[in-house]
Amino acid sequence: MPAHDPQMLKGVLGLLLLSMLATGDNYGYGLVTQLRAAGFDDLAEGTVYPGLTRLESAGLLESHLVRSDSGPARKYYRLTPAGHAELAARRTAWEHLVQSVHTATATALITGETA
Amino acid sequence: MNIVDRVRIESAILRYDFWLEMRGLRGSRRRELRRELRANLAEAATDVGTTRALFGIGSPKQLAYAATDTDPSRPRWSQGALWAALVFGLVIFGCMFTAIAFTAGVEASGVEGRRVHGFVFPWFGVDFAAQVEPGRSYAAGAGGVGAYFLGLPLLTFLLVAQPWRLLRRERHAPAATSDRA
Repeated sequence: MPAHDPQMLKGVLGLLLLSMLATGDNYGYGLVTQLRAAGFDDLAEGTVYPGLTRLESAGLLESHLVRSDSGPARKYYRLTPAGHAELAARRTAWEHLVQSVHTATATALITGETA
Repeated sequence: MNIVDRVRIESAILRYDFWLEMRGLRGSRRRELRRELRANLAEAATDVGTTRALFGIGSPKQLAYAATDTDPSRPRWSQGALWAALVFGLVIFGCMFTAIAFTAGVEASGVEGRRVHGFVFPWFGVDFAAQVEPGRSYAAGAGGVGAYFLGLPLLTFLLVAQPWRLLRRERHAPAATSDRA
């Protein structure tokens, strides 16, 4: 699978994190492994952790500590009501973007073939 | 995890904490972020090894900067103090250097046995004085330099620390973390 464009990835990181957390509470490294399993192999922890911190600071996530048998207590995140609303808005924006890009690239492809 | 790996992880966390402090984060928030990074690194180190875990987070400085992009910041007291100390040192060095140069000028002019006063650029308002005795003993001084010693570091401290950030703090409260362990 080709590597993702870092800039594109940065643009959708918030949507990815909110989407992952919509399926259940999770902690930083847990989200990293979850995203890697979803195909984002090149996603670095150094991108995900600050992303979570920013979403939390924006009030879209809340956190709680859960003791871990394997080490220090993990900080689990979950969506706040504002986070759910933001996720819905970002999903809509993303679908709209995908549709627009698809339309534009399909038009360019047809024009290129007929030229 | 062996002791070397623990030291490497703690070293990364310390550097992360240092840059968080430089970014003006308050102590409790820094502790919270530190604890979270420690837990994530421990988890990653168990999973993929310490080297890959540390590689994954990248530079602790960049990580701290990225984590605090939108954080409500308190004034950057630490950075302000560091820069103020640096400016204070530079002012002392500059003043001493100027006084020595002034004394050398007095000596070169051949004036001996009396106190010579003068103003030297760029020390506006500072009265440099030097006296060269025939037996090659010297006395030098600078009057009115206190404003430079105190004023410049203080101005630097205020500009770097930005105390007016206090006004923004109440508008942006951080999310609370509860212990549900």
